[in-house]
Amino acid sequence: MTPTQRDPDTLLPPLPAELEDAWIDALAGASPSPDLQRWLDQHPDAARDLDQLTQLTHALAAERSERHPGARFFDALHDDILAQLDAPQPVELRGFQPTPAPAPAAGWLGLMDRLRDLLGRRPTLAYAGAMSLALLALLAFALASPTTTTPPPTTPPLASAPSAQPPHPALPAGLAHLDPVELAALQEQASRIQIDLGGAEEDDDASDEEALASLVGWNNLGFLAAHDADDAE
Amino acid sequence: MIVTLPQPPTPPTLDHLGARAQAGDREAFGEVVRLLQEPLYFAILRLVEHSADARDLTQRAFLQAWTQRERLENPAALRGWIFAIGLNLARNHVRDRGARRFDPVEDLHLPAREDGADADLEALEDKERLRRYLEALPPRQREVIALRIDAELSFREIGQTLGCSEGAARVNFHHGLLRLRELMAGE
Repeated sequence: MTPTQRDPDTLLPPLPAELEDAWIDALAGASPSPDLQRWLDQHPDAARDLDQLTQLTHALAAERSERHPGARFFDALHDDILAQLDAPQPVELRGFQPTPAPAPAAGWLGLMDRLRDLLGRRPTLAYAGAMSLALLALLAFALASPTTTTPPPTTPPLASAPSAQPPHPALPAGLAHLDPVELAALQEQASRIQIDLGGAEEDDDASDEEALASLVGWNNLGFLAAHDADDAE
Repeated sequence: MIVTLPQPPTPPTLDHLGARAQAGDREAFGEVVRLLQEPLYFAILRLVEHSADARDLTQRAFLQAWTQRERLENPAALRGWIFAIGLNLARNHVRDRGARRFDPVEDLHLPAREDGADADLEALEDKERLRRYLEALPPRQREVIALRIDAELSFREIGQTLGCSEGAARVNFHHGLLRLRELMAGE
């Protein structure tokens, strides 16, 4: 490659590295430095290249001059700006405008101020905290309350199951459609399930209520039939 | 023969004015406006290509700089900081405006005489072509050219304004001119 050929891998002519800044400064309108001028004298192609590019910058600068609106334009602009320095700004402020924070109060009031400030500046944190507390409360309530109770329907009491369990309370609504035989079968199954699951046998009232309330769900899920099938196997 | 363009103005008192303006000195800020409004206006005009919009955005840039003057960390970087505000406003304006609009025809200095009209029209068309090709440049190259040619900032100040190094500003300027030449040669 001859010195006058352009290096295809770079956008600059094969300039010495120390002349690259001088080249760009010359593009931008500065006079070529003595070293750059000497190099340009030895590389006429690069000199023509520089001349073409600087003509572009001259054209842009000339257009700038032609678009100059005159001194009065800028005098008026200056006056308008100063007149509005203290006016409420209609500009849309996309950045955060910090305001000086007041000095925190002492003691308990200061703590409340800090808490209010924290929650105000971190609404997401406050919301997440409140939701977490609510969820924990719901979970604790769900775990503490064993079952949900429904108003007992006004139906006559059923006969006791063959397992000789004490009389059970009124049926939940989900079992009202069952006849006494079906219900007795369900109660028998429920008792076996309670025993299988290690349910309490001493506290009959509670176990009866649990069994009856659970029967609604178990029956709907077909669990009892499946459990019976397992037993048969 | 290479014509020398005017060098970027470097007011020696701008740092001092910036510190006083940051402290709330309206007179000092007025001097800052007087020093920077013209280059800022031309830089914004190059980007939005509409004189009324450029005036409005220049005004808003200075007002925003005044209201947020406490955020200026280094008064010596006042010029780059104000230009950064102006450029952001110009970018947002162009984005929000959508398709560009240009100055009205009466601003294009159309020739009134019949003789010599062809040459004038050709010159006018060249200017329009130049503007059109500038718009075809990548945003960073266009901004660097605007800041160097129209705002007459140094490459160091251009780097401060755009958040890049001085070297990157130089390279973008060179690449932009090369690309501009390619576009014009491709006609």
